[in-house]
Amino acid sequence: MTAHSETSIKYLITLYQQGIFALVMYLIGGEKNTAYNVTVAAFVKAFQSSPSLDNEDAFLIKLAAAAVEMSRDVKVPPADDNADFINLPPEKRRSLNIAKTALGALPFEARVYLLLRDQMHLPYAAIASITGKPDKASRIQTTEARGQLREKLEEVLRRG
Amino acid sequence: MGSSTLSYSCADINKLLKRFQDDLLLDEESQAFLKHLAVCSKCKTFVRAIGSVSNQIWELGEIKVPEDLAATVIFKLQHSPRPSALKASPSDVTLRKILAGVAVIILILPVLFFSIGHMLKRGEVREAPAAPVMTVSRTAIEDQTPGEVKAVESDPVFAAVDDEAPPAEEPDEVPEEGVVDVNFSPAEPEPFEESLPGDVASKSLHWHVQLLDGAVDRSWEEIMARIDREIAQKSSRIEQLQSDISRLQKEGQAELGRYYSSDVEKKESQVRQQRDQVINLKSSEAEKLTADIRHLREERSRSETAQRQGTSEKQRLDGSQRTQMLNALNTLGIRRDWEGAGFIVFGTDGIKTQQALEQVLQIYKGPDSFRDFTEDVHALPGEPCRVSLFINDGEEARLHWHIDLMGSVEQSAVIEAIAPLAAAVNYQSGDSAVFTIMESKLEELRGKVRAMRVPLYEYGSRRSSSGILVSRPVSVSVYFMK
Repeated sequence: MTAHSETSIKYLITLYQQGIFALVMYLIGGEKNTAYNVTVAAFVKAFQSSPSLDNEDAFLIKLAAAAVEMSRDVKVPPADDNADFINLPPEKRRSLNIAKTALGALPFEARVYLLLRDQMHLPYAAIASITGKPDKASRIQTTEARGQLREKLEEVLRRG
Repeated sequence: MGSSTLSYSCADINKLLKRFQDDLLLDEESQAFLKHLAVCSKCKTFVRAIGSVSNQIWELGEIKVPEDLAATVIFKLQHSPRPSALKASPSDVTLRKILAGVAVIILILPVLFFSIGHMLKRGEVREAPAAPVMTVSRTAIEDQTPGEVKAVESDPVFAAVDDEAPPAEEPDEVPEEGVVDVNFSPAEPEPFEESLPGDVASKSLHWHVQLLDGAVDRSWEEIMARIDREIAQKSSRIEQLQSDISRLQKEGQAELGRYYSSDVEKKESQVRQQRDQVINLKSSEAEKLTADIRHLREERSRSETAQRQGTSEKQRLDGSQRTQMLNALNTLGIRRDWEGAGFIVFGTDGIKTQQALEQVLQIYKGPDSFRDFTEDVHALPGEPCRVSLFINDGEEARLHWHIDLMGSVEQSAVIEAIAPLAAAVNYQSGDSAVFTIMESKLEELRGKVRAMRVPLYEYGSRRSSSGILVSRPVSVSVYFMK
């Protein structure tokens, strides 16, 4: 395997760190320090298993797959950190917190599909590669996950 | 992800909004849609304002990423072991073995043919004479310059063994900009071993130097301020020691007479002896600090007098102190066993140790610029010594721990606590070690070591890792005081 240039590595990290960090954070339940460590580990694994960094899409798939896999094994209590939304208007902050709570209540697999599609906006073909399920199954799973999320949102809103 | 040939305008976004929210766009359409939002903040705000479930998931992604995630990833790439994905497959290994065998045969064949030809030419086969070997005495080695060992004429008996060979140097810093070799895998974090380089451990010295590189102009005010800080620090430390001593003495008093059985009484006696040792160590440190404070007050008084007299002298330290010190060691022929993370280790004999100390003292002036933590250790001529030298360069307070121990059992326990939390072991010897640890784990390690009731004194500083998101690798040098 040839050595990667530090510039290429930094470029890819800058390009994908936001999406992967958010993905991991919501998969593991919001604990930022653990999310940081998992994100770092996912990047390391993706770089080490990539013979070349020319294909950004292929790298992103490896990276997201590593992030999902590593998040699956994490066992941390959920954390409630609202620091990122502190500057938003109160109403907006409230609705995002409700969404966050509802998302956290979903099963892990449902969160994976929702985050990969609706947060990272990955094509279904990429999601299929990451999850190991066929394209069509990924679409169905994503739609079902959205339905589950709507139910959870209503539940959270009813609870108040 | 991917590149779309489609390109949308704001009007297109308006038309496609419903289909986007229902996730009914084709991949290419979706990519083009997102591409427009990436460059048009107006459309992005508009789309996000629509209260759909997908939008909310999208907005949840707008969280702040720690700033040095890239630095940590690069550090991990350089220090992580080779991943199993890169190991050769069994068929590759077999092929390599075959090729290696063939290469060896090809290399040997000419030599074989030449030898046979030579012997046939001479007409006889002679027995090769025994290879002459020389013995090199230890004294002879120490008189040589580093890297050059000459044989001394003496009775040829056996080949010399250099049992003072230094461990391989390991890098202690992330390399400069350039190529990051993802294949680079320095030794995996090795378990600490208590292997000692020959007899060197019989005398172990430990020094601290305060580095002031470059020309430094210091006014009398600055000098006195520095002295005041030093006095305050040492006074605080004396208070802490006295409090510890008082607590230990009270504990000792409380335990007396508690045990009645003779077996338990023996154990109590051992515990009391150990406690007395700790009390003695703390008392002697408190005495040294008191003496230091006395010297500092004298220096302050002299500075005040000079200031009143209007003496314009300023301390000026020209040149690089570090360079001067390293040159001094080189001139003395002292070979450094390890250097990095503000820590230098070298082994030599008693005479050269004294000479090195004289050179260092000439370079580092002032009572607070040099400190010998092993003043009671006398380096005798001909006796092997090892010096661990901690350099504080002031710009960044390197972290350095002194751990007072009562025995090797406690040292092993501390080593066992450090090893699993450390990211890498950079250097290790009988009484000193340098390891790298992530900042987020530093507090945990401190807690573990302190919980062992092992006295830990920290030099340099590192902010507490609690509550911080950013976790950087930190090099920590450790010296086990005996």
